[in-house]
Amino acid sequence: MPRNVVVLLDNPEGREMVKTACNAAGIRFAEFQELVEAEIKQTGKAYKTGLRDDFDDILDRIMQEDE
Amino acid sequence: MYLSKIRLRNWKAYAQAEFDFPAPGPGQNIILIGARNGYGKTSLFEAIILGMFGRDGLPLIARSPLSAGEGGRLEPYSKFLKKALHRGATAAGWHSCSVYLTFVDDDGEEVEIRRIWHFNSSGEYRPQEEQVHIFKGITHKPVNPTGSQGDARLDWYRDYIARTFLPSSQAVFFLFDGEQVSAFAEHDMAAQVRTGIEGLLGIPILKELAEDLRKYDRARRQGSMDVPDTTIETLEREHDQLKDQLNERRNRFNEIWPKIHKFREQQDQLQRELASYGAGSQAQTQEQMDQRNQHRRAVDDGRAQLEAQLAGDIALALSGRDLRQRLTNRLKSEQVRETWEQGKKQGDSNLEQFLGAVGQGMGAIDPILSPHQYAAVLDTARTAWNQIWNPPPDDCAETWRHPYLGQRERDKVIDRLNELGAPGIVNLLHSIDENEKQLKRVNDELNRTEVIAPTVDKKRAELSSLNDQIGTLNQEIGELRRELDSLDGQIKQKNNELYRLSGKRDQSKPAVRRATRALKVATLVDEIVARAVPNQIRAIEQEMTRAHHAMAHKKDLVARIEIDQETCDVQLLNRDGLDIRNYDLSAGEKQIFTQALISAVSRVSGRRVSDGRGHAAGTAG
Repeated sequence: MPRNVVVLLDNPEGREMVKTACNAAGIRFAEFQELVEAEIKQTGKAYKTGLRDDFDDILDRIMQEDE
Repeated sequence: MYLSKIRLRNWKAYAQAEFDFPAPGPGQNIILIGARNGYGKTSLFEAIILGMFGRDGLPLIARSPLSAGEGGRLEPYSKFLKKALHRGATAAGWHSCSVYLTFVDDDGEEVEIRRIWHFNSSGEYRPQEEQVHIFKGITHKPVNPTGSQGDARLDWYRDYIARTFLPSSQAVFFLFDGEQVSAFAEHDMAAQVRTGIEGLLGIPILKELAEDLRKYDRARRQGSMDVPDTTIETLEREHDQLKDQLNERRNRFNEIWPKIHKFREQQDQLQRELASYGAGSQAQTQEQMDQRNQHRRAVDDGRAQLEAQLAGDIALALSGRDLRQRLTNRLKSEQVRETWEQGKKQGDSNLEQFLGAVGQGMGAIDPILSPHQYAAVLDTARTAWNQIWNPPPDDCAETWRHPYLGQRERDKVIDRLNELGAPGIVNLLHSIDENEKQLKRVNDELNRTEVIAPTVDKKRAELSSLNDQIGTLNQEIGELRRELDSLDGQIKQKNNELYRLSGKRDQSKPAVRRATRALKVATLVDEIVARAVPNQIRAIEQEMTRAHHAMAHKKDLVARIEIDQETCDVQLLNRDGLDIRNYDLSAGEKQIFTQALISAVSRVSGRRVSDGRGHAAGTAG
């Protein structure tokens, strides 16, 4: 779960909007949240070490068509 | 949760200092920190910000080089900290400064954040040695990551503080310098609303995610494409050029923005100084001279009237009300004596006739009275007569002091004395005295005004020059905003084209496939960001209207606040649906707008700091 840094994903209305947008784009909501979480982990760092590896992993699973 | 204690060592002007704050209670949930300029209010505020957020807090500090720009760079942080180290610290053998912040959470448990910055012997900050420690409870149990070192350790603490207290990205709405609210209020309202809502929702993180996904797309594509796609390369080049232009404009914007702030602070300062001198040198001098002439005329008129009365009643008037009252009483008592004596005299003249009648009556008594009895009856009658007139009445004068006055004269004197005791001349004397005092006061003010007039004129000229500079910069800022919006639109268009074209490429290569997906997600994030702000606008509108009503003195001036979903333009509507922003809002009304926005953001976000009711912390200048 993304921590409440991105309040949009914590508030029901915002969450629903993001879910709908993800569905429309064929993107899995859970993996989308993982991407946000990966970005939050890197906030404020000068070098975002490991971010691209995280992206590799998540992007491999993110499309609903992969199911 | 509330802040209960701050301990500072070698922080700015504080060699050693400790501040305790009471727990909030019903009706007592605000702590005001007030002092003269330069006495350390802002330093205390800066200690709270940097103590909590370290270098992430730098953009929140108004006098830091990053207050209007992007945070996170090391150099300004080092420069700021170099200045933050207490002047005497190095000479005294200290090579560090520290801020300890103790909070009490909703369960009454203490949480202490300790941040310590180290410096070399020249007073230069040593970033690799910055320390953060967190302790919980009465036993000061350390809260720390297991096995992490260096940046990873600091990152862990950053996350902990964001979860437990507040993320630095939202802190601007909860921790702000009270003195800066007026400057913040001068910003463009639409920009304030957009920034507020984006900060509230955590949009900056999403924007950063989109940016990183696009960088990722490039990096993965470059490493995997055997045959370069010239169309995509051209598009990417154009995209990069636009991005460079955007960054250049942004840099210029970030360069100008602090200047405008600085000029506005100087403008405020000058306006305050001018206000403290009075309405203005020329106008004020003229007004004071008019007042002086008016008081002079009043004093002269009063004295002329006094002159006219000098030959008459003045000496008697100056004898005083008390003496005149005593004389009046004396004359009244002599009046009583006169009445008494006249009554007695008239009685005495009839006494012998009365006694003769009594003697005749006694001659007819049978048996005949002896001569002795006869004399005794007459003596008794005479004594009884005397007793009627003695003693004299209480308010009767014992002796005569003014026997030369008859009844009429005495009455006239009493009337005249009474007239003198009433308003007339006494009021005149009082009026002359009061006008003389006013004349002296106006003369003093006039002397002072004449001395400061050149200073006021000089400050006016400075203010006028500042206004010109602010006007020029505002114009440039407006142009930059338009250019930024236009470039932003063009970049979005390029991104969409890139995504569409890249989707046609070989899907079989995993790296390219991931890159394509990254672009797709980045485009999705753009859409989400575009939709998110309008989504929250209704809630912000309602909370802002409520907060505005609670704070504004003119309750009926603003009936409701409406925000445009696309542009975030704000309308402060009166009962007739007219936008009162078309009229000139006072500085105070603009501040109320800003504070209503801050309040709305804190309420809609559900963040609770201080006393659990979303009150923001600040210092008052």
